[in-house]
Amino acid sequence: MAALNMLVIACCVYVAVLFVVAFAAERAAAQGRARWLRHPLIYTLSLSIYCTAWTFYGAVGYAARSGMEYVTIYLGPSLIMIGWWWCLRKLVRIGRTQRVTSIADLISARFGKSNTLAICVTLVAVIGITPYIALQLQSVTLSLSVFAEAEGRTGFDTGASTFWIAFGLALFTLLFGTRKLNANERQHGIVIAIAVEALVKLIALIAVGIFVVWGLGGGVAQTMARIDASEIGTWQMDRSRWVTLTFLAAAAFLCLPRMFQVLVVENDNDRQLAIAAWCFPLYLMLMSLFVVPIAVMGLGLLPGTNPDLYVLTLPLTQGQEQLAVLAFLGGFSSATAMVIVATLALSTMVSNHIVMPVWLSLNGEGATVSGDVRDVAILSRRLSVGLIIGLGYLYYRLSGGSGALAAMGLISFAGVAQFLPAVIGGIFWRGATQIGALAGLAFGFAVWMWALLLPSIGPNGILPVSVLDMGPWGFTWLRPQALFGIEGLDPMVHAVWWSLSLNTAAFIAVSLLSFPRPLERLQGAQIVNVFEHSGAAQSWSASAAESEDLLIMAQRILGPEDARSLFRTEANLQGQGGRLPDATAEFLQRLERELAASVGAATAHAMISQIAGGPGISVQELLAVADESAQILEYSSQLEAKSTELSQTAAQLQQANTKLTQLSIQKDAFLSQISHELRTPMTSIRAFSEILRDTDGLKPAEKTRYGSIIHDEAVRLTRLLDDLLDLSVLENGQVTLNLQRGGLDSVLDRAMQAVLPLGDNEFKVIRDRAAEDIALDTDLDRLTQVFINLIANARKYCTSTDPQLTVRIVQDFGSTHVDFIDNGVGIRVEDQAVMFEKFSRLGDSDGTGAGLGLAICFEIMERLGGSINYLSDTDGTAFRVTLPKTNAVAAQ
Amino acid sequence: MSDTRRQSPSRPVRIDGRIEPGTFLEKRSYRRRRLTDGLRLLPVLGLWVFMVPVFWPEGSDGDGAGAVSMSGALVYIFAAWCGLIAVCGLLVRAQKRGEDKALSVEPTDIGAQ
Repeated sequence: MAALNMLVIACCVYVAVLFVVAFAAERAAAQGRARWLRHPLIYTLSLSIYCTAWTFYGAVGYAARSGMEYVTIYLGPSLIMIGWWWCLRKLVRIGRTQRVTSIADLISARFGKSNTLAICVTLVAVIGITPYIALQLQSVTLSLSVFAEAEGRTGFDTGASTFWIAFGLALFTLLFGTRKLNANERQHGIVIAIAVEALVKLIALIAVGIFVVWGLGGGVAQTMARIDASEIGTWQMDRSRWVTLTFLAAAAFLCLPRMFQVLVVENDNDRQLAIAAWCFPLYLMLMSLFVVPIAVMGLGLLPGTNPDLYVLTLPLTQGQEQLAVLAFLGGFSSATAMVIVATLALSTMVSNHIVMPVWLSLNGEGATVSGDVRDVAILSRRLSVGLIIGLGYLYYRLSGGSGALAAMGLISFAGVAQFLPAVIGGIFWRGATQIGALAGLAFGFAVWMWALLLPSIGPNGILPVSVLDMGPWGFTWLRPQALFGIEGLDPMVHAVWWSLSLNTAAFIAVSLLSFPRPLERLQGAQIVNVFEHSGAAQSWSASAAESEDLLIMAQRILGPEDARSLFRTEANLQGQGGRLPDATAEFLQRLERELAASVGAATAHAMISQIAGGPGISVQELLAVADESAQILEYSSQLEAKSTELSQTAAQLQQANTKLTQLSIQKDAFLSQISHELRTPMTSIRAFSEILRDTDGLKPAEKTRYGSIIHDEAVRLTRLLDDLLDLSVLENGQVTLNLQRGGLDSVLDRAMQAVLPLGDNEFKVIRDRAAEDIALDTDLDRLTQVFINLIANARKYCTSTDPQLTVRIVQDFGSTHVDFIDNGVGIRVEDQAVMFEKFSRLGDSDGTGAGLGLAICFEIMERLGGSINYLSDTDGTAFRVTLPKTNAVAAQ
Repeated sequence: MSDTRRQSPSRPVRIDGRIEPGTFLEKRSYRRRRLTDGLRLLPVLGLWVFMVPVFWPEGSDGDGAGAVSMSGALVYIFAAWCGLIAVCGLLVRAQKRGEDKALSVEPTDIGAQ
């Protein structure tokens, strides 16, 4: 009684210690004191979950049954670790850059973020791991029953105790592992607890080994002699099994979901891997070192008992109860560590790849509805934990709990090894396609089920004996343990050989025949060439996404605080201050990675694409798919040049378009002005002519007055039309210049006479006749027209009480300027810009002019080769006419 | 990463901006690359060593005369195992020292071997 009670107390204390350690590690990590948690040795120890209860108990039993064969299970992983430079280094880098959460996530991400594939991998993994979980349950039950027997208890209820062990393990896992959502966040608590358990099982096994070799065996030499004298004393080996099992263990080491979790997901840097490359084989070597001596000693001292339990029964029967308890704790550690990590890894897969997508699509509300989905994710993870351990329990009950531990473990290994072609092909071969991976997986899984899993459940478990012996429906070539009529192979070798051959063949053949989708090709290039461009995976067409929608979605998955801090960081990066960040392609990518860490690549991708629309694939990325040769690079630079050219042309087109639009607006304004100008005189002409026609008894004076109004308006209209005609002729360049020779003074005289009738003394004109003696060779009539316009304007608009106009001649740099300066108020600055435009009547003038005069002057001076502008630095209104150079005119 | 690689200035630059690997490397880079080669070949050596037992004569038929004894097999396998671990540890250490000396990380995965 004492022993069993002691065991229960020891277990409880042990679990409590583990909790304290895990809790302390989480706290340290939360406070940023977690550097030592990333130490390579902690990483190495966490890898030790490879050594489960199978290693702890089963290896000795294995050795007692089959000699040295057990060592293959540790040689395979040792080779993989020693060869880390080939494969693990790449896997780990991919895991970090793609933020992979599980092996299903990796395969799905590699093959175009396909959720179908993720679901298949998850299902295979769950089914494949089931025997493994059963193995742990069985080993703990067996070890308990040993203690029960040792104290002479009868009627130890193995069934009930297995149930309670399963229940306890599930509870343990839930408490440990499903509090955090983000699987990609390093689970420091669990990692450190596993590291402690790794030490406990190593110490326990070595302690038993030392007790056996030096305590019972009497030293190394005597033990060696005893080994050679035992029934496994000579080398006996099924050669095909030696090779197959080494390979199988290596494959499983890479593909087991729990190994993937600690190897890849929890990895922090390459340094950890480099150290683990030799430390972990060392750990494995130490774990297997004492297996054969213990087995031989057990065979000698305890013949006829279950060899799987020698590690416990040897110390127990030799009166070393404390050592036996330590051994029990070692076995308990092995089982719990494995179950925790394996079920956590699997539950992440089930939740991310099956429950979440189904839940999201069933709810049908899209990704942008608010509401936290984290609860759903965590709940689904917890249920998955229960489901997976439940399946293990079911398998244990179905198989009767009688199988050798090693055989059950190998069945699991062969199941998960079916991922190997997809993983290795996926990370090294760009041509691998999603359909190929699916086909390979389907073939491999089917053969594994048929040839290994179903027969393992027992002769009449699921498959009847007749099928085993004769094949289904009499097809003898389909006999589960002699496919294609090849008999006499070891069932394990047979199943591994056929499942992996057909798997690989289907994977390669279908990949060769099918064509990948663009996203697959992109992801393929990203993953296969992870060391060359580990940058952006693929970009989103950013324009379609709204930051608000993204925030709502991110909050549902990451939780409000994390999501907001992510968006804040991004906004600061973009220099947006307190606002929401723009949904740039880079930001969408970062967000997708963050989401992928919580819900897996495929779901995250689907959610983002719901908001952002389909991912835009840039030319650059397409080239990344097809790169490798300078040809492509050449092509890329050509494309770049073309694209620059196109964008330049586009810019020019845009300018032209802007100009056209402006012209069109000007034209409309011009037309509306014209019609207005024409309409005003027409209205009064019509009105007065109607009065003349319809009103009887008009006085002659009135008739004359109305008639002259009509006449004046008609004259004004004619003048307007003349001006318009003039302007249009000038603008179209159709004007023919009538070149004449003459003096500037005579031109000015003519202009004065036209504007100022003789005897007009109100308006004084100050001239410098001496300076005006300049010979001109130009169209004198047009020049006169300009002068008339300027003088008439001065006379009309000069507001001074004593109006006067100064005509000044200025000569500089060979040019002659004629300045017309009056003593009025001048023209306002804002009017100066538009005064030479058509119909620009300045300020609040009386409205008699059409506003065409200065425009005509401007056009005339342009035609004559001179210019006219406004002098803004004088008092009053001042125009400067720059006369055309004589020789320039002569040249025309 | 190719940009951070330390190169002698005379190396031609390819169209894509990468530096064309020269024909000869300086001595230290050369050493480091051979270390990496060693790391790559180590698992091949391991596989070879661990597959040797396949060719051992079996003791199952007859009285086991001429068969390899279990103690001999144990010594061989564990000695080979320890040897591999030791060599791997030394190579990793040497590589780390080489990396520490070179200021930038040598990306041996691309470029000339």
